[in-house]
Amino acid sequence: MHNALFIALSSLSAFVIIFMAGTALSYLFLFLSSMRKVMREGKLEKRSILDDLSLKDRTYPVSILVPAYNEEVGVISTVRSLLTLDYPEYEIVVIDDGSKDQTLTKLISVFQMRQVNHATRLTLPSKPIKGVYQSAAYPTVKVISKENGGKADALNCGINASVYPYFCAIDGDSILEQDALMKTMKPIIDSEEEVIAVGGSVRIANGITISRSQVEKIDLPHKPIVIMQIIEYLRAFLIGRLGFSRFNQLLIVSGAFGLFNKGAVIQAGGYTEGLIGEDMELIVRLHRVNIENKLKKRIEYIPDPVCWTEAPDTFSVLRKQRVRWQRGLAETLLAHKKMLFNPAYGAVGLVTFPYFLFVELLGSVVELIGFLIIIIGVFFDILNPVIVGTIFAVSLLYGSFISSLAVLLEELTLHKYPKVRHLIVLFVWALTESLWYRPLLVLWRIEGLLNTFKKKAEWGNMERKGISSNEG
Amino acid sequence: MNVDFSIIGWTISILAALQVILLAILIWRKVLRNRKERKEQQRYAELLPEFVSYLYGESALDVAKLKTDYRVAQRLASDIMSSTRDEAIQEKVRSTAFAALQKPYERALEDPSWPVRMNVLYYVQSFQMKGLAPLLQTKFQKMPLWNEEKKQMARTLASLGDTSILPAVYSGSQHSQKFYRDVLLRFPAEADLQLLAFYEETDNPSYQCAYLQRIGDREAQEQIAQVESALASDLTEVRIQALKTIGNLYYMQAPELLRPFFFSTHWQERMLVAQTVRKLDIHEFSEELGRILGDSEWWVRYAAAETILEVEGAEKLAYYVKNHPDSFARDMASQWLSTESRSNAYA
Repeated sequence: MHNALFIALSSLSAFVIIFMAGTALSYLFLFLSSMRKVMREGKLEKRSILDDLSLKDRTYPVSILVPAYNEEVGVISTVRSLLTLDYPEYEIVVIDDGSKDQTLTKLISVFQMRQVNHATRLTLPSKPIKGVYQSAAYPTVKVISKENGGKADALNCGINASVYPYFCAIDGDSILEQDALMKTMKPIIDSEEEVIAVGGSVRIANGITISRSQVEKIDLPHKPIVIMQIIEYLRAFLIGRLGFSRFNQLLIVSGAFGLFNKGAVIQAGGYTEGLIGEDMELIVRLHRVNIENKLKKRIEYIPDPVCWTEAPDTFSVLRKQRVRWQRGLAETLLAHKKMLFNPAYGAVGLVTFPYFLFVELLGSVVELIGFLIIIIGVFFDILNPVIVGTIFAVSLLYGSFISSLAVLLEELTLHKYPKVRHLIVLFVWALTESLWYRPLLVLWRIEGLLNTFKKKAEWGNMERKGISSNEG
Repeated sequence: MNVDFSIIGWTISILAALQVILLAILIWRKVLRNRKERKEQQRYAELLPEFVSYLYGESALDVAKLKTDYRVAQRLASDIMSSTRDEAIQEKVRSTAFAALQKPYERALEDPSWPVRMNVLYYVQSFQMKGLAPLLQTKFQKMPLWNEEKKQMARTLASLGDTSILPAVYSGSQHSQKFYRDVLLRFPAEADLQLLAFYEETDNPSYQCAYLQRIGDREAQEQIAQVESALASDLTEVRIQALKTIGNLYYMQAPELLRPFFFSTHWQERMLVAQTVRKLDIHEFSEELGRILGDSEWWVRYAAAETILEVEGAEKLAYYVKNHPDSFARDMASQWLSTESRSNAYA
């Protein structure tokens, strides 16, 4: 009996070791495959890249969609920051999704909104519009007040109500860098519209100083839980997305900031209501439509940090966020299960979709098994300590080492954090990831997985503190 | 647990050591970078008042001071170029930049680092350093492939007015419209005749569109004949670009040429003709505008309503709100009546 248990645990351990080491190596491969390009282009003068685009006829006009539900704390500063964007032609469309707080009232009063008639197209289904408002002070700012229907519904409504051929979806609590739209539009212009969606790096705003809706000073927050999220974002964006983008395999463009060809999104059917991960689901569907219709379109990611967003700073809020994210991932993969291992979908179906299923979704289960084996090994002496030690080593490789590498990469490529102290603090905290942060994430991700079929999607209700120093 | 951990231990130790070494290197690089940036900033702050005073003729400038650190000189010149529209000042900045930067740029153009060379190409264009054209031309001819650097070189040489690149640009492989446009728009007016000659010969639609865009960008109303004849092109993209160019010129000789576009099977043409009528303030298409106010395409209705409001006035639009047979047309007219914005829908 003891022998059988030993064999079973040993086999399981071998699987965990191979899985984690393989995943860590795949991260390294993804990074190395795009590192040269990033390092080369990272050294180009920003002006030389963007100069040509600053003229009106060189770019496409963009509608910025800001879906907002109970965002009274952050929405004003978000709109203000959008007003200062350096872009030749754009409109700002805030979609108030039936907020119960003062979101609409604040917008009306701060931006001197007045109600207007609006001939909205009904290209995508969405809940009825209660009223359309236009700012007297800033005519390019519109607010659509609609019945509550969720974030996807709000975005669809915004697509219907917007007038330009490209739209940029951003969260109601985000601050964009001044040249964010220009940088994000560049791949679309350069590819002559072959690129239909672009995601940019989202960075965590906690710790930075934002004044007059502009990023003034970059510093690190004090709470380890927020520092760990900064590291996690660096890892996700600089290693994961960059690599996938290189091979046109990007399956996620963050809901916090993404630029889309409106026609392509409408052709794909817009955002799907009732799902939590509506941002990822849309990208997967764009890939699907692209492949099914034999269109040679691309979805790209740019490594430049273009969007700053507030991160949860308590364990309870972070847990809720991660449970939602994992559920969103599960729902998306389930909705498009037809693509899994389907050669008709090329590399997306054969490589990337399985990667997201087995690594991003089910990887948490494997990691949990790994942690349990370590505990069993340490406390019960059932397993060969070499196996336990190996699992511990690959856990470190998978978690801490890859994350600390992401910190080093940030410094090597973008060096957005100005002080030596920042680099050291981020690096040291990254090394601790496997010891406390990652096990927590694993538990929350499994909780999200179990919650997948439980209830209907709704807005995430993260407590906002606001990231700008001059609200109102 | 009395087992030999040597393999695991070594693996972890090696990985950790590698990371620590990498961290140490990056810290060292960061310290150096921060120190260099502080120095450059200090130097910049010292030289700026002196440079501005020289530009406004209040004092002389020792160019040798600028030569000591070419990045600071480059930044000074670039910042001033982007902050003034005074042509005399810009010319003075250019000549100073050339004096201070020619040698460093000649060296940088041979640098093994791609971004260094690309950045220099950009600055040569920005400072209009015509003295570097022969060197660039030689390098351009030697480059066998149309890679990003060669394309940037073509853009830079075009901005310096070097038409010798034209045969290579236009007889080479097919480029994107964007590239043709980038090159054409950079050529100064003196290149007009050569560019026109090629336009009249070529059947390359990307070139034709780029050339028409150049006419619009340069507001070259004297070339309206070419633009108007492009309205009769068999190629939709050329006709669309011709409409856009007329809009940018705010001028045409024969507005009657616009009439067929109200009946085009391409909605982009119907939308653009409405926008063009608005920009040129043409009053003879009232009936056609009323018709496309009830167009099946939202963008066309949007542009038509905006044009009716601006060209024929709010009363006409109010008339359509009550009397247009199409309910979508009435909605659109109603929107424009209640909206102050005059932003344009885009093709």
